[in-house]
Amino acid sequence: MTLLTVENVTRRYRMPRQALLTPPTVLTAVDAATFTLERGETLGLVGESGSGKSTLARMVMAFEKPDEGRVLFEGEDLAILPAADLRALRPHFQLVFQDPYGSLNPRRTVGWSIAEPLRATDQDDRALVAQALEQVGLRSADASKYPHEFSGGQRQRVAIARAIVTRPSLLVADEAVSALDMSVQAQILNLLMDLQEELGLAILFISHDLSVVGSICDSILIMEYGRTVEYGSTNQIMNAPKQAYTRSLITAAGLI
Amino acid sequence: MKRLPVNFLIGTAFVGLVVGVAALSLIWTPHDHTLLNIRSKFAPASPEHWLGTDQLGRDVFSQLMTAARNSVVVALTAVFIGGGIGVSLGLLAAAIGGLVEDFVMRLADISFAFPTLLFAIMLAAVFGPSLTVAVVAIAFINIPVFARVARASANQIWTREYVYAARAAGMGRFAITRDHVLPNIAAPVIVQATIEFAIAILAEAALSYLGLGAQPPAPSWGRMLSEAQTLMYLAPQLAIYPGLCIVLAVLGFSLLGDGLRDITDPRLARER
Amino acid sequence: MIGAYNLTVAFGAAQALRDVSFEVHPGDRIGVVGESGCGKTMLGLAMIGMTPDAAKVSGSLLLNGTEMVGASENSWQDQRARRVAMVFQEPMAALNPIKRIGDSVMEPLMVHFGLSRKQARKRALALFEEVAIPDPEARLKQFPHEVSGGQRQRVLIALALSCDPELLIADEPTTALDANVALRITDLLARLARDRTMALLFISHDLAAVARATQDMLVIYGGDIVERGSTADVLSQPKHPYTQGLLAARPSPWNVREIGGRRKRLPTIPGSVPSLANLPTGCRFAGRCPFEISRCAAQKPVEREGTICHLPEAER
Repeated sequence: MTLLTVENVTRRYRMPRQALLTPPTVLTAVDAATFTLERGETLGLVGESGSGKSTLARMVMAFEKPDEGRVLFEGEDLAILPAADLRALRPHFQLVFQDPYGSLNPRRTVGWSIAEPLRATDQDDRALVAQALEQVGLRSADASKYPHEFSGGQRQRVAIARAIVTRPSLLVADEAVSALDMSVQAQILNLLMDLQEELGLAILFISHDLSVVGSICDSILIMEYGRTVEYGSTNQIMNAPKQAYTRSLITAAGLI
Repeated sequence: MKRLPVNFLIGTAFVGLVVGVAALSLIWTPHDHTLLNIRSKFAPASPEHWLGTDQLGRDVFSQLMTAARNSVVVALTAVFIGGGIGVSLGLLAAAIGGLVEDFVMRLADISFAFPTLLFAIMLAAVFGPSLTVAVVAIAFINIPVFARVARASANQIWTREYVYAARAAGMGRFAITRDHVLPNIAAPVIVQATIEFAIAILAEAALSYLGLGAQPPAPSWGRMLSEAQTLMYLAPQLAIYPGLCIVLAVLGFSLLGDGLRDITDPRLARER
Repeated sequence: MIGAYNLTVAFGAAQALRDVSFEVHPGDRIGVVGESGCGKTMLGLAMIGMTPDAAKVSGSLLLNGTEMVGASENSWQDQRARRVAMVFQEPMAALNPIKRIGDSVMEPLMVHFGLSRKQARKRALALFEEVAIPDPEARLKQFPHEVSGGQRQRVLIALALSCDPELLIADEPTTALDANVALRITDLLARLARDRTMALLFISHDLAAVARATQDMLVIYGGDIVERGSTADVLSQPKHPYTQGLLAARPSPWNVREIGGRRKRLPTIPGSVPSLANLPTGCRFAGRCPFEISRCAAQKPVEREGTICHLPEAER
């Protein structure tokens, strides 16, 4: 069974009215997005601001429901799943954010934050937390430290540890390396590749940076203003882009 | 210690003084504040009576001390009850959102619409004036204040990434409110609470002044003020002392709240 | 001509910049590259006299012959905008949100040059055209939040140019912008430097932008200039181990799957940048350098052929 299927997903927002009698404008944040992701594959979602990639990520994570279309995870339509079933399914798909400073509760130890997905399903295994820390290149003793004691790159490792502690089959990385320095970025990308191999993770990698996406993804989907501009294998997109917008992104990344 | 703002230090000193004296009054006052001694009425300050005596010969200092107890108890109780209810409503509104949020906030607005004094008069008319009436009335007006502060701060926390991460982890709204939202809104809520203490003390004094709060023989700064009004030309000091006490208490809590706000806000910005 | 000689910016014992020396001539386009905490922003601030109060600046900074280290705020105010101007990273933060763009741009012109409102308006429009803002008259009436990020950045560049500075310092001008817009802003800055024979100091961690906009570049690590040279040379044949590591760590879209389905890993620099207080006293890169020898940590290397390293290239 295909791990993740996104079928014609559309999401619209109604903007506040400009005047009392004019109808409110409707902004189509995501327009009929369609793609699939198999186990162990990586797909890069590339777009600039306003492209809709973050909105799409939120729908994949079931934080929002699509207005049209379906998001199927392991065959289940996330939008119509009852709340309890959705909660039970969440350990299978996890998320890493962009901001290594904001994604961890500053008042809680790192170990507490990593164990959160476990607590939600009534497990709380220190061993699992320790194992997750080691897998991301930190030490199990770090569990009792607070976020401010770590550097940006290390905090991102903590966030990744939290995301893999429940052994998910899908990892959604939303601009996960965008706030990091180049040398740290490389370390985290290597870590993601290692984890993908060790755990058989599928990764949905969202970024505005085509060179980053190109280095770790099997296929790429390019979005502009909510619409899918191009979708294909990394090889095809980087070497034989069909659309002008894709070519402009390649140029802007300094890759030509 | 050097980095603490001046207003915080002065505020803490004043509040400490008031609360300390109030606590002390439970076990000791120079004289029994209810002891009448008409023959030595309007006595000036002396080693015997530190601030003199009032129109019935009662020791003024002891009265002020015992009245402090009333003010502090009323203020703390009213703010805790009102704050407890208000914060809960605010958290609920932020956690659920949508129509529930609108409904809850309109409930809070309704509380806002009642002027404290009118509400207290209404309660007094039904239940008879008493300290309890004062507490309930003040608590009631605290609900919307805390509901707004809590809801606004909580809404901000709900957009933080670590809350999204908790949702992704499968945590329910109650768990997220308890683990993530509440600890992170503690600072603005506490600051608001100290400011509300100041207001509550003033409100209690006003209610007692009107005769709607503490009833004799329980002393209250407000009632001492109203009794002293008719005696302004005979013994003005009887109006000045309770007035000064009210100023001390209200100023103390206000400065403390101000100082707390200064301490918590820039630190938050620096942390990032 | 603007020159920094042995410029050091220190916070107590920690040095954000150490003995930095370089010269900027009219028309030079120089890139300053480094990761966060390396001191490149501090360099920009030092050159416009806006280092934090707690910073102690020593060494020499000459703006057309005038020594600016230790200069008073008044002397700096004379030099700013006319000799040196700066464009910052966050275009939204630099414009007053409740003032119309036109007012924000015209008022400094009226104050500094005593222009009348009409004259200031003409000059503002001319500047807007120079920075290629479409429909400049309409822009004047708009508020900052009504225009896009790229346009706001252009407005700020126009503001910086208003007094015809000799040196324009751009601190991460493209970081907050989308890739396509960033490209155009980068090209704009390069063009302005050429057309006005103005010097451009382009501070950025974005190597692609630096490659496009500059002729020469400096690589900064831990407050030291670890490498300098023409942009083409440095990017194609880096000499310093840090520069080599940094360039190698760039993600490559042409990562080919090796045999067995395993993806090639990116080369990385081990460890992370130490905090200012924990930098080694000799070569800043000691502790992370693959070629490190015993004297690296304690002894500061001397600059040779555009780079500082105890081991000459041949021996590595």
